[in-house]
Amino acid sequence: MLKKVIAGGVLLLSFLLVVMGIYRNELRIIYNNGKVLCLTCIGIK
Amino acid sequence: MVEIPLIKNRRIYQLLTAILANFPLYNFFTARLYSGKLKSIPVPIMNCYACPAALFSCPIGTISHFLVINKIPLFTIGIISAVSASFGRWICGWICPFGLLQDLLYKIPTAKFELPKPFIYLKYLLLAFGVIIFPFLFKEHYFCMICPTGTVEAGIYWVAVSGMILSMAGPFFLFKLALGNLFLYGSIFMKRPFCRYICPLGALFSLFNKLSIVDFSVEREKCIECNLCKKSCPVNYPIYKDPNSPACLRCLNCVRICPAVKVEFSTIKKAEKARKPV
Repeated sequence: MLKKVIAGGVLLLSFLLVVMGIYRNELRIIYNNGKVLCLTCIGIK
Repeated sequence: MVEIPLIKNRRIYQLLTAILANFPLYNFFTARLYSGKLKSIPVPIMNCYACPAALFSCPIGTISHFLVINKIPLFTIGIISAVSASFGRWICGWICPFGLLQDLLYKIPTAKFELPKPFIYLKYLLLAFGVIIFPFLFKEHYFCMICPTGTVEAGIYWVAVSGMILSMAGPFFLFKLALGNLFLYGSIFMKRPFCRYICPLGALFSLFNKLSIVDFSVEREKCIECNLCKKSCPVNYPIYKDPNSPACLRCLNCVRICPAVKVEFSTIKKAEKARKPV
């Protein structure tokens, strides 16, 4: 039972983190990072 | 008890996700990187966002990027923890395209072998140092530097189609290429080497296997330790040792193959108990 409570708590916390992330405009940062070709990922830089 | 999903073949789910996560396949022909709005969502699968067709951002690259710019990636952590607190490592078993690739490569008939057990802790070290601590301290994407997903899904393609990128490719690219090949060929000889020993996303998910809402259990009186579960397991884990082990990918292969292995979901179990006559 305790396990389920902790899992529920983590789920609630995750929801809060997602909302806070949206509020802090993180989607824009993620988008700006993702829309350009990552040179490290392809092994150039 | 939970009924096993109607479509028993999880390859279908894996394939559908691989297609969905790389939907603009035409970008392979036009040599353009998808840069639509969906790139603002870090979907928790290993699918490099440098792949021309990748619809979503890579969560590991995103976490590193935030730490490099001295920010905490709340949104990405929120998505990853929501997914893992629900079902643990199920994404690795059912959704991840790189897992699918390794599963398929392992089907090539040849001699198979295993690495010693301590290697499984390597992924936690890579998560701690390659994704979190070093990027924050030294402002470089250290895990991306060695990530074979980037080489296989993006590096080889971009070097092949772009003369400019080819001219920039040097010893570092060759190093990444060698590492990517090591994992591709390694997948022929051992079950999911990347997921078991390297993947930092899998390491994050695995921390929640014991906590997640879905519970696995083994009926000890029925289990004869025949290791049928281990043979059917994509990571070669005997589920009777610890049904909620961080190694388990929640693929349900063992649940299907062995009557001693059960998967339970608290609310459904309670509802079933309530229906039973006293």
